[in-house]
This record gives sequence, structure tokens and C-alpha cells, in this order.
Amino acid sequence: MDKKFIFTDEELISRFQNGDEQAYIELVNRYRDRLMSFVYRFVNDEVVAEDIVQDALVKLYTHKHYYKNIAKFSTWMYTIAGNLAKTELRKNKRRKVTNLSEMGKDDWEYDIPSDEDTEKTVHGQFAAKQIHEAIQSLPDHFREVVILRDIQELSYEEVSSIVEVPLGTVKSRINRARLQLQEILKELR
Amino acid sequence: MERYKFEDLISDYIENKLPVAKRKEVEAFMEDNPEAKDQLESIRVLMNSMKDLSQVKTSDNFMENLMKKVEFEKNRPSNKKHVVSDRSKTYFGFTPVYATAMSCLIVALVVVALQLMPTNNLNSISIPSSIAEQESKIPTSSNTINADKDLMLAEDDDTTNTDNQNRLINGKFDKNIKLVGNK
Repeated sequence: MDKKFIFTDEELISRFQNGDEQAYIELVNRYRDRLMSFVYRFVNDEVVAEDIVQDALVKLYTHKHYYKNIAKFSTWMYTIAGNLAKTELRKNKRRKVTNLSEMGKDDWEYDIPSDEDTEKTVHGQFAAKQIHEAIQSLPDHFREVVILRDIQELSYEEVSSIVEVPLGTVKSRINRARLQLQEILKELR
Repeated sequence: MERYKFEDLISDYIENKLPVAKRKEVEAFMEDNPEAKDQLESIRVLMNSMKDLSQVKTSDNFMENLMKKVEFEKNRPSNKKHVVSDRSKTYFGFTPVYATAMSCLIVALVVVALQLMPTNNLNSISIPSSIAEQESKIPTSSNTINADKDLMLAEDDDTTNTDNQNRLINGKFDKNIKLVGNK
């Protein structure tokens, strides 16, 4: 068995800082899809999301020595990707976009669930697409924390470190975000 | 319990982070308000649904594009220092080349400053005659000191002063003085 598979993220970044380029590839493979899921749910555009994830991983390459082993590597990586995503959102807001909250229920797009469809109804309750669109209607500061906590399944402490907001505020935002999502989805059912 | 308080506690209840007393309060509220129970159950389902959302994957040519970007950044002159430099090999944030250049510049400035400093005495500077006349009218510092000294002696001329003189002659205390503790 390849010994590399047993390395932690922190060991890999340490090896990469000491010149092991293979450790970088391993970190990229570990994080590319995780970051893609996070950024895509945040910016709601696959092409833009992939660009952001690549930029975050380029930053990992060019700024590898900026990582200090006092925080979890995953937290550092999500912070970089989150900041890039927020910058992209700020740019987007300057352009005219149709706010989902201003749309009527009829304007929402629905896919007819099918067996092959990966976006099929989850647990027979909420369709994945509906959840995704409901998440997009949340304010940025609610959207980011609820994605990190409920989709990426990070701890409250990790979310607090990533968004650089006190733990109590993070918990409150997540609770409020869930209440808002539940309200939006209730109207759709 | 009020409605807004119940809503504040929903997440903690679902995630089992409430103390027993609070948990019972929430349950009591739900018994009295069935719609509150529905709301809590709905959020529980929503949380599970979000966990089960499929992961969005990167495209097949992701790695290829990423390596192109990395190569571009590596070869970009403005970013080269970030890619190749090790922050531990810097001196006060300067790379060795910049640190050497800065040191040379500082040394050069010090040398030039020393060269430009005047070496002649101030005595060689000629004083205009009008200023010299005014200076002669001002009492000299030695005169002032002597006058002050006389004044001080007059003030200090009391018995205490003579006592001190009697007590310490040629560096020795007189016999009337006993050392403290020498009983």
C-alpha cells in the first residue's frame, strides 16, 4: 500500500513546503471536489466555481509557506476558497441579476425527478434542486455558514474559523438560515 | 416559553446540545403547539436532506487546467519570488539580495554623513563686534557661581554645620558617637 495515503493533510502540506511536489498533487486530489461543492453552492455557477477552486489551489501552490501548523489545513483551504468566492459574488452583484426572492413560485425551475436523475427527491421530502435554489435565496452570510455546516458537515468551530466570526454568531446564523430555508421550502410543497 | 425563544433553540435541540431542563421546556412547548413540532421536524428533515445532497465534481480536465495555471504563476516574474522563496530565508522580510543592497545603502549614507560633518572648532567662527560688546556686559558664569556660593554659605552658617565638622575630623568619628547596635 502506498504510504502517502496514510498522511494527514498537515503532514502533506509540510512535505510540500519542504519541496515534495507529489504531496501537492495529493492535496489537490483530496480537496478539489470538496471545494467545488462548497464554492458551487455558494456562487451557483459551475464554470465560475471551477475557476475559483483552481485559483484557490494555485494560491496553495504559490503561498504554501504562508500556512502555519496552528490551524487545520482544511480550515485554511476553505478560508482561501471562501474569500475568493465572496470576491466573485461582490463582482457579480455589480451586474444585474434576477434575485430569486423577487421571483414568483412559477419562475422556479423544476426538474421532473427520474430514476437516473442525481438531483432526485431526497428522502421523499425535498428535491435537491429545490434545496439548492432555496439556498441561493439566502443572504450571503447565511448561505456560507449553512453550506459549510450542513452540506460540508464541518464543525461549528471550524465554520467559525473559516468565516472569521465568533462561535455564538455562527450558531445563531446557522439556526436562522435553517428557519428561512424551511419557510421557503414549505411554500413550495 | 415564547415562540421566538423556541425557534432559537431548534438547532440545539435537534443536535442534542441542550441541557435536560431546556430540552424538557422545548418538548413541553411542542406538546402545547403542534405546529411548532411540525416546524422542528421539517427542519430535521431539511438538515438530513442537505447532508445527502450529491457532491458537485470538478471537470475531467480540471487537473490539466490547474497545472497550466500553476506553471503560468511559476514563470511569472512578479510572482516568482512567492513561488521559489522560503519565508524563513528572509532577513526582516527582505530577501538576501535586497537585504545586502539595503545594508550597503545604509553604510554609504553613514559614510557620506560623516564626510559632510564640519571638523573645524567653533572658536574659528568670527563673532560680530556688536554681539561681542553685549557679551562683555553679561556677568561671566564663574562670577555668578561665586555669588551663589557666598549666598549658600550664609544660609548654611548654623550650629549644625559646626557639629558635623567636629564629629568628622580626618575621616574619623569622635568618641561621643556610638555605632548603632553596639551595646
